[in-house]
Amino acid sequence: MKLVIFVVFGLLIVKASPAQENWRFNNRIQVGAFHDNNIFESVQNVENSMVSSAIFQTQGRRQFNKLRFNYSYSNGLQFYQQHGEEHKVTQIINAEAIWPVYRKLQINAAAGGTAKFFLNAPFDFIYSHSSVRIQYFFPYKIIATAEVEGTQLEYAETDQFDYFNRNFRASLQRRIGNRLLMESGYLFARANFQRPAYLETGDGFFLEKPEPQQDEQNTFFLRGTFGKKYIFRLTSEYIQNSSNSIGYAYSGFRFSGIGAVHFQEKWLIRMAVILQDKKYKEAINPVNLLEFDLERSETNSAVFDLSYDFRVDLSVLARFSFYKNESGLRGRFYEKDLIFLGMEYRF
Amino acid sequence: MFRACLKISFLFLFFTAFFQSEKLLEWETQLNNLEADYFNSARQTNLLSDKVDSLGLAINNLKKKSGFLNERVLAQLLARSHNVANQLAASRDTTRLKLIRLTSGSQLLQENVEKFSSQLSFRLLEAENRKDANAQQTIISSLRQARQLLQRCRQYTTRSLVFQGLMAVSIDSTDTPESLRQKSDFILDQADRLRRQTAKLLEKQKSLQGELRMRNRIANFFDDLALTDPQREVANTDQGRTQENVTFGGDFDKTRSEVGNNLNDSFSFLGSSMQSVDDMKWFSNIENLESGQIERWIEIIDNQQATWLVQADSLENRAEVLQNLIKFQREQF
Repeated sequence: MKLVIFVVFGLLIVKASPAQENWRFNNRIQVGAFHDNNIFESVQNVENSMVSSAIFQTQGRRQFNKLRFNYSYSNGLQFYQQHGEEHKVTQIINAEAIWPVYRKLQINAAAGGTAKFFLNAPFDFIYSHSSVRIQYFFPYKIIATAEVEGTQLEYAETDQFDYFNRNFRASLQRRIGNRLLMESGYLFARANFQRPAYLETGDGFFLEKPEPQQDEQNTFFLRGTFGKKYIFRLTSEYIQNSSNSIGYAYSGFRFSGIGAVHFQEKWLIRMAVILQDKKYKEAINPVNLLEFDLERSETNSAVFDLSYDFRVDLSVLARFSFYKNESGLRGRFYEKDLIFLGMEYRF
Repeated sequence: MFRACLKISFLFLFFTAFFQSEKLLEWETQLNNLEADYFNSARQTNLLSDKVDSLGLAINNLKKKSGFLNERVLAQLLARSHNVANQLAASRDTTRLKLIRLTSGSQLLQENVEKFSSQLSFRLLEAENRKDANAQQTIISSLRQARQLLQRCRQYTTRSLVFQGLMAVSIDSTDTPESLRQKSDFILDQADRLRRQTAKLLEKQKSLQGELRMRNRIANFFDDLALTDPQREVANTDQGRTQENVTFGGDFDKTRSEVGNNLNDSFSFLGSSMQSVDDMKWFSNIENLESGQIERWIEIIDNQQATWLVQADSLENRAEVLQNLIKFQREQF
């Protein structure tokens, strides 16, 4: 059934898109194969497999007088050789309405979600988000942004990892010259889990608290984006997480960088790197795992992608990804290499 | 021997400096003359326009009154108004012509000054190597002068990215073969200008398309990672944003304050005739534009190119008709 949804949606995108004249669409189909050296994201029992993958994606934009509307729908399919329990379909949808109230003020409302369906395993989940963002354009190219966001994670089979987040974000950005955009800001996130919080008794036992687990996260970030026929963006973050449940409080730094360079017209390099250093407050393992679906965890990674355009709309891709992500067990890391070769057609 | 060499080199420097400043002075005078011509003509047009307005007001006031004397005055005013309106139309044509001359003159001067500046820079390097302080000073002051002149030229040449208007050329029975030939050349020149402007637009459009393609490909990359890799998002702080903002941090500063207006200008410009785009501005930096706005610029350029090419074709056809008319007149006499 889930597979049928994937194929039907994909076909609908291809069929429906070009007919609408008031909309502007970008669609693409990507097919390829991965070699995944650790398909279960395991710390010890490493299993490798070849994976067939396909992506259908459509993005659309439309202007309704002053209001601008963007949407993006992506549909990804992964089939694992001899490991049917890992077959999955991932669907991501995002939509945004942008309303320039007047010259200096803009309001954005966005919503979206990710649904991941395992074809032969009971790990399905839906992650959703919605937000309202206000931007004010000051003189001297300064932009102030305030954003309120709600996010939610819902597993089909268990409530142990489900949460509802309320986030508040504020930032200031300024363009310096034509090539550099600097942004600095603060993010507050409060996660209300459905599972109970725990405390540790003096004799080393865990005791369930009457209230559910609640985490609060404060993040300060500084970001620079450089660009002129190439794009590089570096972000440094200081994260401090507190929790009413023992074992989850931590603080740490995270550095991330993304970049893209086009060269000799037909070649394109894209890359993304994340490095994170986490220090837990209590030297104790919490009762619950940090994450259930380990593909949701991200700690240290480096992804390099090289593509060659045969035509403006047809490319061949080679991608190497390395992950050293924290596993469900606190402070223990799994490693994963992915090598991908594929073709992409954009229309 | 050494003294003689010193004298020769001093004389060489003196003449070089003299010719440098002479050349720049000559170009500056040319630009001054072109500017003066255009601004005088524009002032004259404005005066005539004011005159037409005030005459119109007086005529309207007189129409409300009655009486023989008033009728005489009204008739006189109407005749005068007709006369001034004709003068205004002619003056507008002249102003447009002078603007075209100013723009193309500036373009030519700019090319010359740019070449000259690069020669001066080379000479400056030589003087620095020779450690000749006097020569360095002279060249630096010439370079400064050249830069000022360049800036002045660019005021007009950057505007020329959008064609400033077509001159209406009419023919009548008083036209001689010579005047017809001049008119035909003028029409061909306008067609050629349109084609050159179209080529410029094509370059701009290519850079816009490249930027847009790059943005889309980066966004696609993050989508791929979210769909197939253990990556929810490349950086958590971008959570919940659409791709455009994820990738570019909402580079809106100029978009809103400057480019947004330009877009409106350009849309109104497309709807109206080409002569009304005196204040057309161009975006200063592609990186500041939102992807949606880039798409709209590409569309605007497409439309504009099509319009200009059609106009260029029709002008060339018209020139051909004039050439045939000249041939016909020659054959007759």
